[in-house]
Amino acid sequence: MKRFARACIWGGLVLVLTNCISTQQKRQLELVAKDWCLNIGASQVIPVYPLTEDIQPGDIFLVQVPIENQRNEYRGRGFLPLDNLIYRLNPRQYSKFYEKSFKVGNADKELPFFWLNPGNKEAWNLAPLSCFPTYSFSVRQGGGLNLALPVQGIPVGLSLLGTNSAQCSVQIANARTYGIDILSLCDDVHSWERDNREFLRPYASTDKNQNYIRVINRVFLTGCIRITLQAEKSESAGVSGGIPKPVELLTPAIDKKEPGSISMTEYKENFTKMSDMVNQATKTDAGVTVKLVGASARLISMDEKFARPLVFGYLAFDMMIGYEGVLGPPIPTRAFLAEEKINYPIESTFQNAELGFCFKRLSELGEAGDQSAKKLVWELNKLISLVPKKYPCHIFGFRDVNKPIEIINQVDSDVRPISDFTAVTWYQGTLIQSINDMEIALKDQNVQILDFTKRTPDAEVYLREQIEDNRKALKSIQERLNSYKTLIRSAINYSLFGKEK
Amino acid sequence: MPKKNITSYTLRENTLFAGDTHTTASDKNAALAALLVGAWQVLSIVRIERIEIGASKGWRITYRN
Repeated sequence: MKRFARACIWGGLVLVLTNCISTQQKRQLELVAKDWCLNIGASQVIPVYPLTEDIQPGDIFLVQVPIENQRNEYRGRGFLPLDNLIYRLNPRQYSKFYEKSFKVGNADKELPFFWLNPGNKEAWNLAPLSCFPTYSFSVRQGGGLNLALPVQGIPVGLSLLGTNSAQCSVQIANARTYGIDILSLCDDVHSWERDNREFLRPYASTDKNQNYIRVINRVFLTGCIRITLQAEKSESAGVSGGIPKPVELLTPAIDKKEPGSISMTEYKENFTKMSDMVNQATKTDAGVTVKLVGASARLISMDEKFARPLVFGYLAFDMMIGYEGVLGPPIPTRAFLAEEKINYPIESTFQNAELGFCFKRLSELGEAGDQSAKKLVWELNKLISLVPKKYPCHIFGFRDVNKPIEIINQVDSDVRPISDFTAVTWYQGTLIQSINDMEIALKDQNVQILDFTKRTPDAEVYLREQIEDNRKALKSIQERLNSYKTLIRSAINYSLFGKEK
Repeated sequence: MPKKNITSYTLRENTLFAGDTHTTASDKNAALAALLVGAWQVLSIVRIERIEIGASKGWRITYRN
């Protein structure tokens, strides 16, 4: 019984320790992965993790995660999952975009196929160059480091240095980039959208859930990652009882040989042997080769080369899926991730003029037989209930040039009844113009204020109060309109881009 | 010849002036467009004039009641 209890305690301890170590390792892995991603992210590029060859401009992903959650995920993990690819669009304007700078093939051999050019190692040399800063971090030997960092040479390097902690620097070498301008890609996306409205319609955003498509417009690739490891502390001597650690093979201890005998030939021979060791240790089927490029007693440098360049970062833009599956304007994904509050153009576009033109355009489309436009007009017309029956404040204006500013409509007088959505834009416009005119009057001391014989401080106080009242009234209707933002956003999108197939 | 009763109507016209200090053509257009789909959109406009008198720059409309 006593023996059993002791065994249980030991077993428990082992379990706790194992769990502790694996938690630490996991934490270490996560930190290294995050550091890697943050480094890429600091270069204004969204990291791809893990590296892949199969991402290209024109890839469209469906995003159903709320933007706040995406921001948290991006800050926490350093990258965004790209798991919902819905379509691969082939941008049509590469030739025009690179017309005067890079060869991009032709209709038979378009990008990226033209640069992939299977069999030709130099193919990607035609692509535009890109350069990234070196990234440094401390690393400790632990299982699966190659899983955390998208380079597998690090654990091998640590073994060669005979240390379990080192200062590591990673340089993204031979980086290339290619992409396309948002304007032309947007044209392609809108063509695709019109043909796939049926697919997009169920994903239409609501006031509670907003769905987007994320379109990649630029990718960054690398064919080689250079890893330099500098041992923080040599530990193998103590552990292995004097057996030289692998890197010492390159530079045999001077006291064991005649100084003259440490020849370059010997160094080269040892270096070749060690290169072979590295090649064997890192051999995979994925076409990745790790080559030793330099070594000394406490420093080792390796090149990890990929068979073909891999994408490690990208730029993209998001388009909100609106009413009836109509897509909104493009917003750079990085802006989405960085901004505390998204200034989605359409959202703040309760810009009166745009709303007015939007309604006019939808009415025209509706009269021409467009059923979706008709439906939107019908729904917008219901918003006339937002306009008050009576003016909540005085409305001011100028009757003519160089005339005093005066009350055009008294507070509590009847607001002109209008039977369609024009009532909203007109009412908002009236308030905006009233505020505008009062601000002009306030600035220009020559402007007289009716009922005040002179520009006394009282007159100015009165005008300020009236401006405040007008602003409150404007804010009130804008807030009420905001609760219909999905409808309004969809209406504007449809008037700008939408056209049923 | 019997006299006909002629009812005469007087067209009442009013004016409004909106200050607009923009200087470029595109900005002026935008300001006018905002007025036409905003505060002035329900008015029966007879005439629109651009006024450029010293500091008093803007748009004057004549409309019918």
